[in-house]
Amino acid sequence: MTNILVVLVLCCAPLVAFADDDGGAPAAAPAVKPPSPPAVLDPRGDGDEGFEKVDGSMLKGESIPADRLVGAAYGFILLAFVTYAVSVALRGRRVEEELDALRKKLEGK
Amino acid sequence: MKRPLLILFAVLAAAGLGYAPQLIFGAPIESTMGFVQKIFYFHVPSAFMTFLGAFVSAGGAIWYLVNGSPRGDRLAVAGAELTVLFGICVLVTGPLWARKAWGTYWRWDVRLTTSLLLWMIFLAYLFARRYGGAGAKRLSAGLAVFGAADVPLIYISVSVWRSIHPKTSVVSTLGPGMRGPFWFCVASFLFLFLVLLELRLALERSRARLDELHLAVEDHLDANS
Repeated sequence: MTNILVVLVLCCAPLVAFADDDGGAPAAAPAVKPPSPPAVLDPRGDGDEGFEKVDGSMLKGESIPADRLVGAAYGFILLAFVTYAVSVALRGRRVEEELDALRKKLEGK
Repeated sequence: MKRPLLILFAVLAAAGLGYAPQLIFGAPIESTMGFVQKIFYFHVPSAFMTFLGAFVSAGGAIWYLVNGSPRGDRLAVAGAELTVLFGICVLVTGPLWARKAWGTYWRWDVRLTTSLLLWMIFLAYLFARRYGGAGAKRLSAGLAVFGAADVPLIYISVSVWRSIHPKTSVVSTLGPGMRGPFWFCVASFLFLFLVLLELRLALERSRARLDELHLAVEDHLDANS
């Protein structure tokens, strides 16, 4: 029973973390201009198959915003802890159930 | 651990982890790396707890190897599981930080490689224990001691070898605005570690009782047959 209570308390951490969205909103990361890509020479010409010549528009998706990376890191940590705590509680409950069944079996004999 | 203390630690851990983002986002933005440096506030405490888990596991393993103590064995397995848990947090949050700071998720840098090695040794501990058959406890206890020996290596790696990973001195030289949130996170992670350790030890104690009861049932059946 205590274990389940403790797990419930731990599961509340994400609720507390995201309860105050306005107050806890991250400050905007300083705008960083991505380095300009080096020019890639394509000796094969446009009609060849294989690797495609790079152009500026392709590199736009390369820069991942820092706040997304920080959010992913914190989210992963919370998820890992909650999952682990729930897993320990479930394993504990299974063992307790098995213990009860065995005790009853012993008392019956 | 006494029940009220366990509940108090659980409340402190949950409140700490819940409040940490407010403090972290309020801390100054680092001048070189920018906003992504905020991963530091839970990456480093996770690493501290990984080391603590490895030492707890190795301590329990030595206790078990020397005295054959079941309590030592329970401590070793609980510590090993927490090393794997906090270790995966280090190995996931580090590359997310590196993606922005270094431009790549992973490099075979000595600090990163030895950290991965530590995590894999304790993962091997858990596999050996589960699937190792007879003698698995002693085998895995040896692995725990071997794994803990990697911790000092990880710690000094950035000073001894050439590494692009930040040095260990960044913690002691933190500015006043960053020091408070950082140690707050370390304390929260420590409470969480203690709570999870106690929960895991309680599970092992229940399993030990179950094994005793299984033996009692078998004895009872043998006596009647």
